[in-house]
Amino acid sequence: MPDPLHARGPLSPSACSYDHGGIRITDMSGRQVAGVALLGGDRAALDATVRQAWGVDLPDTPRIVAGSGLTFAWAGPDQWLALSDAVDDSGPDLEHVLRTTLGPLAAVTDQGDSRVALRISGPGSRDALSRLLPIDLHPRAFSPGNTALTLAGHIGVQVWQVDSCPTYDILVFRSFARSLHHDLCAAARGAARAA
Amino acid sequence: MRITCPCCGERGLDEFSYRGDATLSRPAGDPPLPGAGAEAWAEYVYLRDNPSGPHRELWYHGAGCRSWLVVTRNTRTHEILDTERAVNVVRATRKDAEA
Repeated sequence: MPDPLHARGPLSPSACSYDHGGIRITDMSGRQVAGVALLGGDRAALDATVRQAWGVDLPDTPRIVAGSGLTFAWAGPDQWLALSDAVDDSGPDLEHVLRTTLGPLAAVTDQGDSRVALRISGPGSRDALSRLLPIDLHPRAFSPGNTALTLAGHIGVQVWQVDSCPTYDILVFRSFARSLHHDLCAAARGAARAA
Repeated sequence: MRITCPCCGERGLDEFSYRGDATLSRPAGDPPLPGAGAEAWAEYVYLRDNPSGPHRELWYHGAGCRSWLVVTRNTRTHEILDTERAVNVVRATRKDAEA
């Protein structure tokens, strides 16, 4: 009998935790992610349905908005990512919930096997992240609720600020998670040395 | 060189790729159907001006919001004079054509 397949995390367990010099890097890969795209559909109808179901307005600028049970992140014009509140894969199937609620109003795709979230938090995290991202992370330019699609080194990422601790979540393609985690740890060590 | 994306704000050149001349318009009809002649097609596919000064170009924000943009760039100084989403340019052109 063939060996059963076992789900493996995107990071090796030994590499998962980093917590030094006021910077903490966490693996958030259990969080469910789904893409929502209008694809030329009726925006007003989509807005009304989303408002009724989750009590939020879909953002038109690079922001994230927290609804009841999930968060919507702007991911390009008329495109969003929906993220579950639960970070451990528990809770209802996000793609199914979105598909059932939105019906034909938007295209919904499960991104959970494709993207992984890493979290960097602590007083030194802005300095660490600034070593990787080519965007301005100063509070006057990027504050809690703001998101950006950009490059971390050569890796395409979507980043958003969670709180003013500061805490940032970085969404990355799963196969790049180990490289990005390595880069984040290197940036964190460098920032701690420079501080 | 930095380009101000209408969706994402000012970003570095490495997030964008150049996608050609934005001033071209596709000849009517598709070969081999009747429509524009071979000469018009050869010009559309192969022949490009090499303007000195402001030029309208297509750029793709692949590492950002994945929008196609029409960027007006001064080819002598690399100054970016204007950026707009290509889809809005097309919509405005169609509206003008209908009016």
